[in-house]
Amino acid sequence: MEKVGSTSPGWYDGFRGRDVISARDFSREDYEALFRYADLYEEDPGFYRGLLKDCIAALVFVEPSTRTFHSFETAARILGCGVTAIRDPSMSSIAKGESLHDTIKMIESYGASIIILRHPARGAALYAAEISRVPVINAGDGSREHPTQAMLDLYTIARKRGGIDGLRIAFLGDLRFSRTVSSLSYALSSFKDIEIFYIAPPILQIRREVKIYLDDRGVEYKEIIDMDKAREILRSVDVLYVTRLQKERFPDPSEYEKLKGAYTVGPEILSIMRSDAGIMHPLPRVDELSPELDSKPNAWYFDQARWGLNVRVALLSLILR
Amino acid sequence: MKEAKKNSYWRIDTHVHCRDWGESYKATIGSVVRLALSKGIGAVFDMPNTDPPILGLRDAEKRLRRAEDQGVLKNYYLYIAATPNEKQLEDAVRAYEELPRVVGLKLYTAPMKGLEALSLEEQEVVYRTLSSLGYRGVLAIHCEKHSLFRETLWDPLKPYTWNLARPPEAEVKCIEDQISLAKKHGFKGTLYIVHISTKEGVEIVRRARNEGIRIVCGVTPHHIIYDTDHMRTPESVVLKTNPPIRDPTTARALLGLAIEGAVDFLETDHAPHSPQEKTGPPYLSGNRSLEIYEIAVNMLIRSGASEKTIYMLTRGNAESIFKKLDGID
Repeated sequence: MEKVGSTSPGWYDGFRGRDVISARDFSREDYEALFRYADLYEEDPGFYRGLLKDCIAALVFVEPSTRTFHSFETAARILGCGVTAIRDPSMSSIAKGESLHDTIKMIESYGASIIILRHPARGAALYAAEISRVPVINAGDGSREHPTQAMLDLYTIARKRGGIDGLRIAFLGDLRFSRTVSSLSYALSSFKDIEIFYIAPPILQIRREVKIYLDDRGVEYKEIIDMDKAREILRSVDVLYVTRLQKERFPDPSEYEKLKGAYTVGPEILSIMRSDAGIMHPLPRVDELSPELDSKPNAWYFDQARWGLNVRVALLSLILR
Repeated sequence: MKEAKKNSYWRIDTHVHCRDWGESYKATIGSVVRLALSKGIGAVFDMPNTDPPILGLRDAEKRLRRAEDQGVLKNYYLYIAATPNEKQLEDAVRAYEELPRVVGLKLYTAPMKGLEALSLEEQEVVYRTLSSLGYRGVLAIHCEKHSLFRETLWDPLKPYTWNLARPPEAEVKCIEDQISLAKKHGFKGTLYIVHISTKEGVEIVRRARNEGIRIVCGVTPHHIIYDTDHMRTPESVVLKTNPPIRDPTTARALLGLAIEGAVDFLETDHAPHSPQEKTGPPYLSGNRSLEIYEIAVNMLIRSGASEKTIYMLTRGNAESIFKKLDGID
């Protein structure tokens, strides 16, 4: 397996003290530096042990999470940080109506070095960053963005494929409400010759704000509604990125039932794809990704989740060291 | 030709708050109507969340006498509030039928001064009762689903946070609720989604209309002129309004949707408060949007709206959707 940036890095200052709110805020240089540091986690795990032993990471998760919460918590512990967490808002003053402002200020006053925030409101992370004196990482703000997921997605693609430039990627599923799809789309715009295909029914197509951004950056993209046309495209893509269809988003339940089958990726879809193409998914999956794919080399999604730890270890150290 | 009447017809504002009565220190019927006239608006439709609220025939008659006393009856029309009380609704419908100046009923789904937020069950009472009374007029609805508010995100020093506290999905879900309730109870009137503030909301209205549901919507000057980028300083708290000013992409999208005819009215939702109420606790919501009405019209024209579109947004649709307007020039 080829890795990006196998040389031992000199310290990169591009992230120091920064908030991580949007994938739009980072350059190609930033992403590539992050990949080198993520590689280092496997090349020299001892390098990171206790690196941030005087720091405290505050995890404020007002919405459920499995992978993001645990990988951040594990990353912080590997780095030697103290960890403080609000995991269940019903057990904190948030349930009593405490404002986000006061929650952030309180956490900051207890000595947090960084705040990692997941919140259901679009824009909550940006607001938290504006009022916080310590860096804030957006761990998902409603349907808007999930920039650290985009970082680990890019890392996975770069590591599996040997680079990002020239990538042909198809997104399939609920693209409108997927924060991972919008963040990865923004991040991809920092690379060269990217082609994006958004495959979804009109009601779940990619949001206008993402399209405006891609237009401004000159990124090639197409919206695909017809499944026959989609199958044609899937023959040639490097990556198929699948997201869950969210039943509750459909005004007409029969429309969901009709589409559900068409948007399930299984061996039949895999058979028309290139043999070296990868299938990615931010997880959790419901039934849009067949378990029959799990053992195939094209199933990149478990590596994708696993390497989230590499990326988050690297990111925390680059911000806080 | 109607198009030839540009600048020669009086416009209609289907949504204002004239205040008066217990809030005369903010504005009066006379002051609001005269401001409207100065903007080329010859008819204003006043909302019923006054102090006290307008709930039936007697309130409406009192209100009309007040307009007459101030010499502006000719330009004044009003709505009656719809509450989940069958007797009150009967009285409201009677007022609609008997008084030519009553243009419709108004349903508040979010809390308003003097009027409680209605639960979905209470909203259902309104639809069931109006359907059984055979009401065929306009039901104007302030659509924001209270249960989706996140008030803990409001920070008056960062006024854009009002958009986080009362998020777009609260409007979208509430519009879906109204359509479902109207279908369920066979509502025969016209749903009017006032001050629509989301692209998704307009799309839902458009889809419902294509399915044959009688539904219309209006957009305000402040929702197309301003966006959250204008609300980043503490002083911009004066722009706080309900539903909130949205993000720049949404403001641009609403402008485009108005130009392509997916929106029926340019309505001001002119809602004056005292400077103290706007800039300090309780930081009341509401904009003096009659004052920016012409800016919005010019913005629409500059962005490609035809004369006919402007006519329909500012008069034509109101004439065809509301009952025959008594006394309008």
